[in-house]
Amino acid sequence: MVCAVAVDRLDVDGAAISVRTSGRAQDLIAVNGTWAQRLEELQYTLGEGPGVEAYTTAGPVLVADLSDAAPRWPGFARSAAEEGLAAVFALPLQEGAIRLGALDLYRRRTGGLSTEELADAAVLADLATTALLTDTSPDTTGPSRSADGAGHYDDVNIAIGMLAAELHISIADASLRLRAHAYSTGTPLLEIAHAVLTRKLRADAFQD
Amino acid sequence: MDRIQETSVALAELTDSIRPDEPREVLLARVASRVVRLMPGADAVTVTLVVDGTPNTVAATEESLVPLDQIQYTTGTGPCLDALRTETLVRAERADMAQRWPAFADVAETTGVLTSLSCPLFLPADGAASSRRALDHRLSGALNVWSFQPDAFAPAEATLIAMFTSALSSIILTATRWAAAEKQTDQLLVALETRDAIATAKGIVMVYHRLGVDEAFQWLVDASQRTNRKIRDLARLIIDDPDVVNGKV
Repeated sequence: MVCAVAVDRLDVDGAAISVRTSGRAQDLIAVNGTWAQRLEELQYTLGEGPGVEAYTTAGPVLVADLSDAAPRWPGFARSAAEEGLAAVFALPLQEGAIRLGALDLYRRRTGGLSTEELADAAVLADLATTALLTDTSPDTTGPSRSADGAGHYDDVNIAIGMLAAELHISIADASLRLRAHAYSTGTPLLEIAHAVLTRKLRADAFQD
Repeated sequence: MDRIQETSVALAELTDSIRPDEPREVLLARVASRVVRLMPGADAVTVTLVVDGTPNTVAATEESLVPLDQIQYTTGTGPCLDALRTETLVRAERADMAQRWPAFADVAETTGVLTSLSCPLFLPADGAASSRRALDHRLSGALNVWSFQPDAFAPAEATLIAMFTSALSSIILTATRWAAAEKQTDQLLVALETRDAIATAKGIVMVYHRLGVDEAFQWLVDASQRTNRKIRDLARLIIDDPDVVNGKV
């Protein structure tokens, strides 16, 4: 809902809300369009990007021209540009010292948000935060939080477990190799994970 | 230090001392003794809270004055109940007491109380930290200040204490909201991390036992029942030591 309003009112082409933890855990709570979904997954794959930064710094991240952000997020800037991203704005979802994640707004053309748009975006981020904090029934927030608790990135975590077991490596190592493979082959992380799950992609592919 | 400054210092001290998990009575006892020190002429403070329509004394700096509250609960009249009902400050001296609430005035006579001041309080219900609906459920109560002096609590003092209790009410409300938000966040983040751990454990089980995704989950469910461990605890064990999957559970 918040994402749809964002796309409608703020002249952006995609919006997404992700919840994060200080670790690598991330979940897609709401997203408007598959394009924004791919960009969220890209941040999940790389562990860098505007949403990650808005979360860790607890401040807004406003990038009117993505090409300026190459030093900041080398991987994300390049891959997101290939996806057609030109400008991105991320607002942290927070209340006081409580940090939850970020609202990411994606735009296909360069240019900043006007003061008014920025104020609207901040209100939307607040709305999303309130919704997350007051919602006590976990299965109503979004499609990724179904009744059995399966998350949007579940397949990735299953694949990480499989790789760790097959290759006798640590979970952290397995996570890195899966992400590195996705990034180096330019394949979405979820697709790679699915290939591992269905055993189309053997663990050998992830050997050093 | 002037009176207003003293009051705001006291308020700041109490604010800093609030712990979200402490029982309401503990905090109110602290408030009561702070008010006694803060207010000239105040010899004792009792705190009334209305729970399920019934008023109760939940804190008292002087146990011997609790009968002053109790006679009001029994007879249904008195300065504290008036303050509750009208949501305004009620100040009474000996002559007013005898005229307005004779039964209460008799007890006041016995205890030696000559002036009373009752300030309404609005607090969130205890344990209301779980949902927004519960937060809207507020408790009402009153802070009762007692003096053995005639003509205590000048209007300026009384106003100051009214401001104090009203500020305190909102501070406690905010603290409760904050605690609710923090709890919700914790649950959200724990759920996120737990879910990832279970998924990863599923992947490990799939490889060790050559199972599909759903079968692996069933394996975890069975193992959880067999070993009397929660699935999420089992998942963490497996992640820490995948060999656990080979029967060492």
